[in-house]
Amino acid sequence: MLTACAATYLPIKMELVPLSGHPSFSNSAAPSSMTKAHSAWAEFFQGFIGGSNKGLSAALNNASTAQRLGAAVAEFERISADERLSILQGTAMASDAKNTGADWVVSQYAALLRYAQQTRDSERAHRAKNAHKIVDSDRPSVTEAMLFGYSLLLSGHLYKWRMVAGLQGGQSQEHLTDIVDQYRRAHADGLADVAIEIQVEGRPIIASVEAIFVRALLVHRLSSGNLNNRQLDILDNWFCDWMRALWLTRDAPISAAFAFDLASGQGLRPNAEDSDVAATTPQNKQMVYLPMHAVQRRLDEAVAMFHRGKVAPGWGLGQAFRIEEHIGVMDYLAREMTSSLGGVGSKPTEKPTRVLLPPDTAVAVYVGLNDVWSFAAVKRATSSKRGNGVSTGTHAYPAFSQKAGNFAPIDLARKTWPLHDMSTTGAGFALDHGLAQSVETGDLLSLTHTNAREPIIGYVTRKAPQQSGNRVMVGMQILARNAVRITLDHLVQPESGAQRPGVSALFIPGEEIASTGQPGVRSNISGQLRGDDSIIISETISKAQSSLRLKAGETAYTIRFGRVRLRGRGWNMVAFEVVAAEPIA
Amino acid sequence: MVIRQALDTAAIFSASSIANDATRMRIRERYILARFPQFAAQRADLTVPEIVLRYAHEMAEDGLTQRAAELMTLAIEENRGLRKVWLALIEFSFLQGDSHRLSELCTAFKREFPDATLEEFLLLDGLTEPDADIEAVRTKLRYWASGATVASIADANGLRRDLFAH
Repeated sequence: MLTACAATYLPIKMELVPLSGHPSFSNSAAPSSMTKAHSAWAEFFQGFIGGSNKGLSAALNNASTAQRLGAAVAEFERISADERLSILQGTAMASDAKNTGADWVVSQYAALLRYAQQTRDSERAHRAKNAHKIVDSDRPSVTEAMLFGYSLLLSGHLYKWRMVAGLQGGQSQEHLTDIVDQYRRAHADGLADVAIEIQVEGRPIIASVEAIFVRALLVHRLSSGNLNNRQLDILDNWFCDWMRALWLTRDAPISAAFAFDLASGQGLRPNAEDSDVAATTPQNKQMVYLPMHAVQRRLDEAVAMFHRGKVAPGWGLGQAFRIEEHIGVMDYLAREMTSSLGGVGSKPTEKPTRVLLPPDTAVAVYVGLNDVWSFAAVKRATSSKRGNGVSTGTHAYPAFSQKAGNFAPIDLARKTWPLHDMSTTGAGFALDHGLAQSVETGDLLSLTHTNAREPIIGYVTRKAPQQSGNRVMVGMQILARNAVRITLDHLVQPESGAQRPGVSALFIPGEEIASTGQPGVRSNISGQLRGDDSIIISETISKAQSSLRLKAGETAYTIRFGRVRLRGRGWNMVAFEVVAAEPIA
Repeated sequence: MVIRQALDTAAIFSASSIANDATRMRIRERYILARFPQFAAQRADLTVPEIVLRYAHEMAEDGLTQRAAELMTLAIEENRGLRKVWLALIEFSFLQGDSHRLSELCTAFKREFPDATLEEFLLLDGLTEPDADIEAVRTKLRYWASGATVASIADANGLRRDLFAH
């Protein structure tokens, strides 16, 4: 029996991260609960790789190496659950302790992965050496399949946590090459289709080795910095839960699909994109396809779970995250599928030309709706009868409007960021890790270029470490170049006579207005507004208020909010209509 | 035989089935208000067909077709008697080419409104045969969705606009 044989070549020599030398233990800021978890895991893992069953269920005494590995992975995820949750829930301004914690999680998943791969290779070598002695050929296959499965699973975990820790750029080729190599070997051994039971966050999931490979590919494809850490974890848990339904096909499906070339090891690509290439050089490719409707159906099921009052997938750390994070993942996944997989024959959208800028190009940036509204030199609508209607001039930032001889106050909100590239629809920044910690995917930004009179309003769509170097690439999608700063009043004021403070918001002209480059704002803030005009407002306000009043020029417009067109971190961009217009008394 | 295969699939969910489960109701409410904050102030609007269809129409115009369909689904889950929303969602699924969802909805609709002579629709060859006469199916769908006479609707794709008109 293989299990008996396996015990003869275990334990495997492992290179452990020394407990005393790990940064966590030299960091006095690390919470004691964290160090306790590290100690508990280190004690367990050292015993585990030494062949001890201490800490494992008695039922595993005679278990295979793969089953013991599964128990160890489950034990690590149990011990580290609180710390991982704390890291994922951390704000953008992560503390040193949280950074250290993320590094620790990465190092432990790496250690488990090394163990899985070494054990798998030992099993294979042992089987090859003793093939003539092994009677029960089913047992080795299942054990090796499980080890392949865990290797691929842990590769996915490791990739995700390297992204969380800021140690890895999106879609690294090195990672992809590794998981493809693992899958090729499993396929060559005839193990790709073997269904196995694996543990994810303590939950048993039955999936084929191939499905675990697909999950790793999807994590690689879709974790390119467009999601924050919490959303990345939610998405990955969905993929893990969907593994039972993720099957690759060798024949190109009629419907939209992700395509993957096993020969070149290039990442998942839209079917339509690849079909052109396949038509010209089919001999050099080993194409496999993931039909998109399989992913769409699972996404529909996740949405249906929320309708039924359950947080999909019903397990994992994501259960503790805000509903808005889950919705962000739904929107992202739907957008990805729509944009890249419009159907067979569809062509990818042409990207605008990106201009690389000199290394010393810097711009002034404000982050978050409050700071953008308060400090960025956005045009503002005057809100009293004395005004001249909507101003088309630039609102001077207070620090710049001081009279000569006076010192301008220090502007803590203003950030100077190096601008890496620019296009008509977006901008890219190359930030060092310190600066990058102050921003997260979904944050609202204003960018003031030296040549521009007015700031550009946009939001962060991508944040990922560079493949090389120690900088983090932050991508910004432009929303407007001629936004207007507005203040909205509540329709009902308290009976006490005290005025409720106005609501800060930004008017975002519709696409037609923006494309013409004409201010034209006044003509839009009147009458029945349809079209593309929107207002950016805080998430809290947009939930609490359906109507507010905007005073512009000599008129007070009652505005009713409509659907949310876009949402970010703490803000919503909502459509609206004017339901009443009255002269200001 | 897409429709016939789907006859035994689960019908659309009803929110009333979890009314006694406070936790699940709270999660559902949180989800609805986070997904569609325009209903936060007037939650009851989610059961007003004209308002739901107007929002759905606007979302579809914004290219948010999945979200438009989800909104109509949520409205039906809240009140299964919203016949107009049912029919709009059926038509929407058809125009989206989502045959799986279409067949589910048609089945559920028939169960919900047994007095409707949906058999007429189900027996059409249009959706069940590969060489379907799409125009014939559309005409039938328009009839079901609008309750109006077929001749009164000229544009094959105009049903949604007619339904959403307010």
